[in-house]
Amino acid sequence: MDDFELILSILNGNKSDFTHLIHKYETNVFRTAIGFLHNKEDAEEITQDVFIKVYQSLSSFKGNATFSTWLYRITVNSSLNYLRKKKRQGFWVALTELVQIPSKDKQAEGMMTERSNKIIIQQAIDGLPEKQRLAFVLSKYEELSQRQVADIMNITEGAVEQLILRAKNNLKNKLQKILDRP
Amino acid sequence: MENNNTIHPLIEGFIQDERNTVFNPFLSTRILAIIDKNTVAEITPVFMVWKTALLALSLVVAI
Repeated sequence: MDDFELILSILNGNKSDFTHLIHKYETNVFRTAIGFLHNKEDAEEITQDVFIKVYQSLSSFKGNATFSTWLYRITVNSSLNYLRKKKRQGFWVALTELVQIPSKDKQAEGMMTERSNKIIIQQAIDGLPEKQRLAFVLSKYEELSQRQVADIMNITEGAVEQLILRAKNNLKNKLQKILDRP
Repeated sequence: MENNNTIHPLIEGFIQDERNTVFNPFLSTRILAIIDKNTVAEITPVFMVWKTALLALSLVVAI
């Protein structure tokens, strides 16, 4: 069954078909969420919330866009809302993650450097302007085409191309400055 | 010192690591359980209203 047939079947009361829909798209939703949240548990929570929202509002899906476009929009909005809520609640990154502990152990030092680099890259992605970050995550984490990203963001393909280019340049410049520091 | 040739693989490596994160295989079960629970929670208030109304009516009849 294609997505429209699955949706009609679910709206007719066949809840088991919603399971098929979840299995078909849960990886996509989770991967998109992790691109924004960088945390497995948070991404699982968002994935759960997204599918519950989808189930509750399935009757309002008009079919103007494909189901996957609609689903990605809900995922992106849920992820961004979660981040805004988290920011308002004043969450902070543990300082211990940022402190480099001097060690004579070369392997431990290597692991700390790798971890610090990951945090630096994560913060660089999170620091991108919202539209650039959106286009970057959808394109790099979900490997969506520019056409698909444009449909989700409701912009032109040309605009998507520009956003991704700017995002990549921004990241390169930010990381260059930080990682070149002595 | 990091230069352009090392930054791109660093970013790609970071993204691939996150893309490869495995989620809880019982996530769909959890989702369906919550949906079922929410469906019951929606029905219960309606049932409680009828139950209260019947109780009130039987009290009136008794008096």
